[in-house]
Amino acid sequence: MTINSPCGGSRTKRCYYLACVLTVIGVFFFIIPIFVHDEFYLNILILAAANGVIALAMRAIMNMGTPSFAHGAFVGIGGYASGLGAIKLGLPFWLTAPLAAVVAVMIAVVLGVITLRLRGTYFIIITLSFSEIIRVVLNSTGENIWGGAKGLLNIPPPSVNFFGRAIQFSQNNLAPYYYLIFVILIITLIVMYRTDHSRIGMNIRALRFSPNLAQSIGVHLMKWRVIAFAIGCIFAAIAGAFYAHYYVMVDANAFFGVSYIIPVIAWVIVGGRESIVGTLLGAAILTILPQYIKPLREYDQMAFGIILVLFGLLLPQGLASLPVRLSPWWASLRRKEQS
Amino acid sequence: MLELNDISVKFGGVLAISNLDLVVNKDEIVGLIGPNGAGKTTLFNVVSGFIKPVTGTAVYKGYRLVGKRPDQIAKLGLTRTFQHTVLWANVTVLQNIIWAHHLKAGVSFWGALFGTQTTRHREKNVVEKSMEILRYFGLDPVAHELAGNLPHGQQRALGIAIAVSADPDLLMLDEPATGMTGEESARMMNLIRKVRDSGRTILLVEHNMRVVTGCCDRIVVLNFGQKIAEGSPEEVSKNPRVVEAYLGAEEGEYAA
Repeated sequence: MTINSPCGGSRTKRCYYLACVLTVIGVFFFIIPIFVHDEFYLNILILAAANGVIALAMRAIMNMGTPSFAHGAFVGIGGYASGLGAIKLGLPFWLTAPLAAVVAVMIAVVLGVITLRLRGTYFIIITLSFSEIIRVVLNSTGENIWGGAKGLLNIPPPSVNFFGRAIQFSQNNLAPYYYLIFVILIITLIVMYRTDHSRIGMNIRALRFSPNLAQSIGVHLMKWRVIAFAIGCIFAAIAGAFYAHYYVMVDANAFFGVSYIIPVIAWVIVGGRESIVGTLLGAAILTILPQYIKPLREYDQMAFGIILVLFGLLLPQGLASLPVRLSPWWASLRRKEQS
Repeated sequence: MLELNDISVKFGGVLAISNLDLVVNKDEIVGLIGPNGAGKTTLFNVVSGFIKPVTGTAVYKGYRLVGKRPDQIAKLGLTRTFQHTVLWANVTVLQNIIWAHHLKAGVSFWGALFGTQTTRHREKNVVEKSMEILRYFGLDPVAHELAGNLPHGQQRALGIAIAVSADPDLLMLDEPATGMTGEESARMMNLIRKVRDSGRTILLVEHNMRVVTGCCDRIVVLNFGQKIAEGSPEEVSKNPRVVEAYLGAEEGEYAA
């Protein structure tokens, strides 16, 4: 048995297959806007990718233990920070998105240091309260700054000069948005993969499975929990920044509160919290399905609740564990065929 | 090497440990025994930083331990195992050791994030070193099993292997031979001596008297949070106060 990397398996061979598969998938999604001009389909893909970023960010936090109920708040904070940066300071998107990330990381560290001493239900209650406080503050103050209850309106769409040619981001031409979220998603995937397969992910998972053991061999509990929380909040905020420039507005009521969080948790659980690809698939499936299945769209809260309970009971590791779960069944089926 | 002075611990109104002094010298195996509830595990929790004592000082290699976090204490070279088998049950045995090893691997946050050349090199080293430790503990045949699927004896050994992976100078073992058959506990005794002979000092809590008398150089007896006896295994087993604590007064002649 060759062991070349801590994640196990022979590195070169696996890397080769992985690179091939990734290239094919990448090229496939890259050429979609060339053939698909229907904005309806592009819009669905954009939402799936953006929600994928949010789900991956949530997964990074859930790797630490409990889901953060302030996740939507960080999406909103990213949106507001980026929108304000664009409106008040006139910054372009490639500066406002990092600005959103910086604001998010500062708030996340402060909130993390306060709340991450608590675990489980207490962490959920505190993050939910934080989210509600921000929502109320954004709604009832700052009429002239961030629009108060009306929300932040007239956020300019991103403007990019591609070799001297201005690229039009507009609701009639979604392809640039598609490529933008495509790039953001790829960056998110790379960062998530690297954190998972390095000391960062190891420490975070070691702390989740057994905080006492991890501490007793030298893992700083607070430091790594705060890092996990901050990584999640950064990408939530970047996705929020994208949404703000996509819808050219942010509304404090859209992202904050439990009703936004339940679907996000469902994305992660349905896809499989242990797997990056699974989480991305979960977000994509649960974003795309409601567009075609009307009851899922109309009774979304109830539907997502039921989905969460069902997956929690029947497939706690999500769709990503389906191949492993089905393999014995599949093997027995083949044995029957042969005999 | 480790010096405890006047340690007292209170849980609510109950004095779990009162005014305890304890010295552990380099290259010793010190056994800590006493009836249930005597405060042995509490003492471990104090030394490893999980519980803060009300009074007293704990000095290890010249560093004061009271007030330090568990991870800081581990980095000073003082690790422990737990009374109930504590390991990362849902990953492989090898992964358990790799995680434990990362403390010493010295990979930086940014190096880990970007997967730099040095990081990769070091991560590769970690795998090799981890296999070495598994061989040392006789766990290499089960390296790729899930840790939670191992039999009890091997799980206990893995617990010690994890603590040793962090490269401690002083190792605290909380009931390493608990719930073991005679054969398993004999193997555990050999293992403990072997770890000591590799240059690590050991402080252990144990109920299995065969293990304690078999491998400890010195025994400290606690009862109701107080030290009632200290000395070589023979001295301690003849001490009337120890006999009283274990078997009750008047029946001293039944001392084991």
